[in-house]
Amino acid sequence: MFRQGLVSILRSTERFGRWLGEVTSWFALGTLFSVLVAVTGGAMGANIMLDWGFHVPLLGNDLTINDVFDLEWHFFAVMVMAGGTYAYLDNRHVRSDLIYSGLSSRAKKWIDTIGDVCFLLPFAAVMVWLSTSFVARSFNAAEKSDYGGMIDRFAIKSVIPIGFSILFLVVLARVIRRFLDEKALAEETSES
Amino acid sequence: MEFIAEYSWAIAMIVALIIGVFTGYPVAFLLCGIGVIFAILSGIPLRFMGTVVSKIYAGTLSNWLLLAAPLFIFMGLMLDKSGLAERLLLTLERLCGRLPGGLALSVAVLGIVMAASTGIVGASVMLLGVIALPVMIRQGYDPRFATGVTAACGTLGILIPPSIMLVFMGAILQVSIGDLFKAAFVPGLLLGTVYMLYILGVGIFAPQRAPIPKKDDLDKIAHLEGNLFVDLLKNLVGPLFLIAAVLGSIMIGLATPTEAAGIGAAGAIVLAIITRQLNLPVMRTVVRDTSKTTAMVIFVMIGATCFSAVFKRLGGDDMIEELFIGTGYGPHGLLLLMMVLIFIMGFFLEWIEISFIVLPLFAPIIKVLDFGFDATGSELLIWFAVLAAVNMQTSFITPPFGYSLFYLRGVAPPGVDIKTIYRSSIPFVVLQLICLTALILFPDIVLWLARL
Repeated sequence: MFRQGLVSILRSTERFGRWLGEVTSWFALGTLFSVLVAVTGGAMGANIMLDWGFHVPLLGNDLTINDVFDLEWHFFAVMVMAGGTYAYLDNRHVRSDLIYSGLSSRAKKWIDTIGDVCFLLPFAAVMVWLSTSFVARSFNAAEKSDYGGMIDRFAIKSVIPIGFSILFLVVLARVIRRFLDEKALAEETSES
Repeated sequence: MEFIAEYSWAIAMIVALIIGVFTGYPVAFLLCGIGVIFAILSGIPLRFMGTVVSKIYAGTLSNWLLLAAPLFIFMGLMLDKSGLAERLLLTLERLCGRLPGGLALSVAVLGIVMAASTGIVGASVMLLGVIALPVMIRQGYDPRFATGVTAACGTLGILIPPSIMLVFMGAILQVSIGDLFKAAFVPGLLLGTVYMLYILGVGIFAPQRAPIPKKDDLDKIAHLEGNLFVDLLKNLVGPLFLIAAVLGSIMIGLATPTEAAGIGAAGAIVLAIITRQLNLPVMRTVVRDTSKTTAMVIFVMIGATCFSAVFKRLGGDDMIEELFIGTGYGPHGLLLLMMVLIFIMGFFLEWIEISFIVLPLFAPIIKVLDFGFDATGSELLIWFAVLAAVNMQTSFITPPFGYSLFYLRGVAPPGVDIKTIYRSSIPFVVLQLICLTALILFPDIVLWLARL
């Protein structure tokens, strides 16, 4: 019972990581759209595009062309941080296949597990730890764009600790599940 | 011995990286982890890794230049998944099929036009391997010719702008991506032309290796009963115009690479709508693959940031410089040594890792060398980047380790074994090496367009 419960929690964790990746992948269109708006806006020489006159988080009182420039990479940053976990789950991170592709699935499992435990998890943990203060500094200084773009820089900076936390949890879940739920995992990974 | 003692940590890092790469564990995470582990082992306070956080933010996540990458990837995927690429190939085959080596020529054109935006080498080689190779073999092409064409043309795309690799190289070397596109344009065109001449030559002088299909067969390949002219307009003119518009606007300085990439991605959507191929599943596949491919590259960049920060702190950069200067070679000797190293690394690593790990180490050395022609530091870097790009491309199709050859074997029709692929790639390796030599001896081929 305990084991089944644990496995289902682990699976949900991974499913969440995948779901987040799927949702944020649409941000590619967000980047695309803001680039197009910036191009058109720039061509027309428009600076303030929309003026709603009250305070909105991230954007402030109006939408200027510099806001749009910032939006482009805000979408990008979220997509990339969530995409790293998504690509992990779908085994899309680039490997040197020369030896790996000829190994048994058992050997592959051990390489991935040792690698995840020794390399990926410590790195993700260190990044979460150190980036928290990075975000806090930005929040305390009320940091915003210094060229009239978006405000609330801490929000986009916080994708670093949030992204690496999710990566950490998903990798941890996957590592444990490799040993508890071997069959189901093999099926899932062969599908994707 | 003194040298080893002084740089023992940096040397250990490189050894760990090499061993790790061979295990097949994802290189991005390997780089991240080795950075952290060696910081701990060598007693660097972990707080130091805070610089990695700010570099990830400032150099990667908020780096406006990098936005061109997901947009170009999006464009390439949209052309691919909406079937535009395949129909472009079929139309080309119908159009040039009756020329000597015509089917292979079509593959070369598609490789030049399309693969540019698919990101990793494997993706474009596999695309061509799936849609183009079986057609050639069914029409009686010698597999020893057809597989080489497929591998080489699929790999050509990483050089020809708009190439993702050049976007990242520009960001890494801190040179203008637009200039880099301009610099790679002529060498890319040169290689494309040389390939096509070779294919034509085989078609004319060894027609049994590339037989000309009957007209009926050609129509069957294209499984189109429609008017050739209408097909051309729909399937050929659209994508070609799109690529030309994207490249042209960068070349004449009308748009930054990011803006041009945005316009290209939007244009690909429009083309998919016009040809009625755009639906939710296609769009979903495209955005998901865009996200995963982009993240895959960016995570190597993050890993390299972490690795390099620690490596530099442990004196690794100085060590590399001392090693190179210590050889006592002149500028061309050093360049050749670097080229050989990159070539060998190309057997085991994608352009992604080589660009992020190796180029930053070589760049400061190259920048101050005097190659006997008049060029600024950043012009030297642009030249060097193009040389490295052509070099990697050669390495990827060189037996027995070339990346592209392995990918091709994975998707090749039954009956095509790895030996056939090895043999067929050799002529293309030779062509590549001739071009690479020309680019080294005559830097103007690379630089003149960027200097205009």
